[in-house]
Amino acid sequence: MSATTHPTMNVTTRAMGQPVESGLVSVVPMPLRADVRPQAIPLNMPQVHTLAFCVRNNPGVLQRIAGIFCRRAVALRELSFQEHSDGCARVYVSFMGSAALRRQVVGQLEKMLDAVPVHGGGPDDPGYGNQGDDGT
Amino acid sequence: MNGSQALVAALKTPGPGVMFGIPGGAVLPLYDALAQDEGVRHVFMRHEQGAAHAAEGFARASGRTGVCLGTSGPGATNLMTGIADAFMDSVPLVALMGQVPSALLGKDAFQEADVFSMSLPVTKHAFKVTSADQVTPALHGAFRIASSGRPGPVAVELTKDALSGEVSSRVQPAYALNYDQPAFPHDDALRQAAHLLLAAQRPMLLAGGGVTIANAGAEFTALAEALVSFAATTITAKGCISDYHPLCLGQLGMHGRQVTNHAVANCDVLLAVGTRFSDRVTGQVASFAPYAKIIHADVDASEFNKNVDAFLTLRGDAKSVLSALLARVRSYQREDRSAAWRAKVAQLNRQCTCDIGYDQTPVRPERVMKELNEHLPQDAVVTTEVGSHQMFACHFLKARHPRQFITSAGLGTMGFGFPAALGAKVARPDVPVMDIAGDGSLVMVCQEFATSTSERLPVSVCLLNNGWYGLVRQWQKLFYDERYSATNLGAWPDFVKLSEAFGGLGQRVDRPSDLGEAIRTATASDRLYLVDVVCTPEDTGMPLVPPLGKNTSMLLGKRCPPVPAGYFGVRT
Repeated sequence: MSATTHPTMNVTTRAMGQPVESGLVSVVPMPLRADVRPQAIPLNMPQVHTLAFCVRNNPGVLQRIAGIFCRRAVALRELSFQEHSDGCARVYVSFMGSAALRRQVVGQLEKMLDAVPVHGGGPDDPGYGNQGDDGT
Repeated sequence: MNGSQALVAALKTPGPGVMFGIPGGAVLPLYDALAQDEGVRHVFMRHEQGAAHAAEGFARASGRTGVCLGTSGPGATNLMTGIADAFMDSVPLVALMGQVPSALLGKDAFQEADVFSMSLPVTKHAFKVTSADQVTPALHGAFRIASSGRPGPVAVELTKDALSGEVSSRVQPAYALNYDQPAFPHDDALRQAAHLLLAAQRPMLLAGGGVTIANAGAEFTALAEALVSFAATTITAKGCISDYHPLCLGQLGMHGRQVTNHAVANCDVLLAVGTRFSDRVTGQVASFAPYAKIIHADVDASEFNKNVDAFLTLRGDAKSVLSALLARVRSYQREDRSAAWRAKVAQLNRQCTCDIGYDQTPVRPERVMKELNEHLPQDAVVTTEVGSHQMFACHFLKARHPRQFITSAGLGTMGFGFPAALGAKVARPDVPVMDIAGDGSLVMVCQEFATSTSERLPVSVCLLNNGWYGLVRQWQKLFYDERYSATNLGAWPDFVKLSEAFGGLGQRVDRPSDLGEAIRTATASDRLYLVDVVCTPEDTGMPLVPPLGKNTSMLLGKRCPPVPAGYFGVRT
């Protein structure tokens, strides 16, 4: 029912004893526990979230990403940034916060004009592959 | 062709052909190009903050993209306040910022500051242009980004060598960016929304700034009429449904009307269009529209469930969503289920509409608004500064059309109103433009009086002069035991003399009976005209929701009728 946005962002949630909550594409393999459903996690409970996405590697793009966290007073736990041959960079970023925060951050990252919509790419790139709305 | 000439060409198409700026060393090549091309009107401001606000005023009054310019370093940092203001209110703005030659970047050159980085948190996008070849694609991208999707400011930092260098003959490709694509809500969502609204027993509509931006005031009003539903407006949507319309309840929230807050708190379906549910609108979030299924329509998906959880979301610009909803609502047979609710709201609306014809001296701000309603031409554009005068204007001034009431809403920038009035006058030279000002705000930008005179932009100012930072004083009075700290401004300056010093005219008004004549003189003047109305600081804007309070627990003014508990008979 909710309007679907462009498939830009891959979202993985890693929480103690929680299964992977995947967005459009699951990125980081996680140990699963089938007895805990993702929707059982309260919105305000802090968890570790890992996001993976691609951006055009223009000057300042990392600053823009960092700013989205900075203005919400959130420190990062992990960050990797790697440019690929096509001028795009794959970013992994992990941080601690509520699911509501993650929703905000994903919304803002998807709005960045440097973000690259994922349309499916090389099969060995975990970020590429699944394209479009997979119904999750 | 050099970079500056390419920039001037881009300002004509796709740009608006108007810019507000101040020259400086790093942008001299651009000013040289402007001197040789009559196609772009350059409005020479007196402070870069004024330039940014004037560009905003131009954009808000016309719906076109405003352009402002500051030189490198301090020129560009001075623009930031206006850029941030445009970001908060989703105003299409292209801010051109000078930069030292690229060979000097990072060497602490004279007037060097990393203004590109500074602009990142308050812009929709920013371009760093270091060669003449990038000028055209960056400007075309900037205009496209600023005005598409949810509009916003775009900063373009241009090094001096990019402005003076020759453009190569190669055709430069457009920047590959994730540009906004038009979004339309799903048919199923529209059908469900229409059903919810038609089945509602206590429906309410809420217009936000998105309705103004999408020029969807007519559609919004038509939907309210088709549903026979009362409608509230946020500060940026004032005029989307005429304040004279019987279904318009006006502003809600902290400085809103009591009837509006109670109606929203008791409705069962709330259609909110193009609003981000600011804290000033919702009050305590948990008690905002607690019985309502909220249908949230917005062009920006990241607004959904940000501040208020929505029952149903419709992604699309206000015009397409409202037209689609209107067509659906009209196509269904309608059974009137909300007559009892309407009667209750209408009765409360009558009780909350008090006579504001106060006759005492010093003049009460409410009386000034009453006189403005009676004596301002119907098509006049009004801007405001920020403070208690702004709240009085929101509350009592009546707007007939969208884009008629221009104010700094989200950022709350004192000093916004006067330069914005100049920008609005550039956009709408055919109509009178008035800045409703407070004495605290007006001194922050009074250097722009010179712009008004030298650029022949005759605007008028209605100054509510009470010698205090009135809104801060009100809070110190209510919430800090009347300890007035750094809020007394004294009786300086003499604003009429100030206006005259800058080549304008003015008069002081002490008695309410002189207001009408003064307002008519001011709006008819072909020069800057300032009406200095002597007010008392004791008149505080009421009712008021205390910070973080519930919207239904307002501090009431002496003449506000308390709403009895259970007035609407709503049970959980």
